[in-house]
Amino acid sequence: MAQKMTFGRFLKKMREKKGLSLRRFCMENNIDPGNFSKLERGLISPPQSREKLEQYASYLEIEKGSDDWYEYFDLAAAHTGKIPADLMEDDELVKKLPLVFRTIRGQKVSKNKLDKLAEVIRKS
Amino acid sequence: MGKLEIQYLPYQQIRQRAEDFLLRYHPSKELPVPIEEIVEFKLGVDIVPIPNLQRDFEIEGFTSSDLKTIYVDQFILSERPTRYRFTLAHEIGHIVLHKRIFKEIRISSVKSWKTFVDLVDPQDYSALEFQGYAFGGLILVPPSELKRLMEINLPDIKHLIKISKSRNIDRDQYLDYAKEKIAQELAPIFDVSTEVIVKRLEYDKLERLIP
Repeated sequence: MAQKMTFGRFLKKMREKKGLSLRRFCMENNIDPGNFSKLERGLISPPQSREKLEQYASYLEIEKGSDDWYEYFDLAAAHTGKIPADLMEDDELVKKLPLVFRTIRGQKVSKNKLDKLAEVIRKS
Repeated sequence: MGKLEIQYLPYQQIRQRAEDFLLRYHPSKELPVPIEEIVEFKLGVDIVPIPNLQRDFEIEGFTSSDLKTIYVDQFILSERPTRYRFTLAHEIGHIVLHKRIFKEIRISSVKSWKTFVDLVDPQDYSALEFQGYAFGGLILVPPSELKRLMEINLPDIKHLIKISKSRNIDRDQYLDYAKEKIAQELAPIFDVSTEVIVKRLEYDKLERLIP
């Protein structure tokens, strides 16, 4: 079943259309990749200001007056008033926990750090 | 809990899996392999940067147990592109090679996850990590391309070796230097570190081409 289009998914779709990875897109436009990733995943709200929205639209080369342009602003407006779930629920968190980690020394993470890591993942 | 049904894959088998992967997701063989685009656009896996992941946990990256997200240290993503590329390739190794293991482990809570991580046999853990590491190197540095480019670069090295031999320097003594020299030439082409190239020359037994 197709996922419902959201502002975040639309951003990712447009970035993909340009063939730009998250890193490249953020580096080229001096955007924080952590925040942009959260925006794409719907964990933070679209920018409130029209100016900021237009800036992102220009980075994504969304042509003014095009169907994509209107969809972009409609999706941003549709998000207004919705409170993003900035903290993952437990059942979602469990799916995101790692089973192996790429550490500097190729070792496991100590048990006392695991609670902290789970909380970091919950907020990411 | 804690015992993984690990299959100890020989290097040749990992190599075959990596070749199959590249054939499917990067048939053009263009270098450097566009690993970020493969992850995001072809595999549909999200990349999520986490600030201070390395500083606070000594972790460079990991894959979520549902295999839909790769988390990476944000500093590595922004400032260490070759390290970042390798982290992604390594994590793809887990997704490709260890999908079954990931699916069979049923983590139902943070508590059961902590118990699982604590009880995993270190040898099993090392085996999984080695396989991910090997697969990562093999997809970023495809074997056929490594051999082809090494052969192109060998004449430059042979000149230096000739000088070494004329000074009665043994092969054992110049071999590391020769591998490093080749790695310096090839690493930028594959967009990996020289360390990855040196390891690959050893694993693929290509150092035997150095006279």
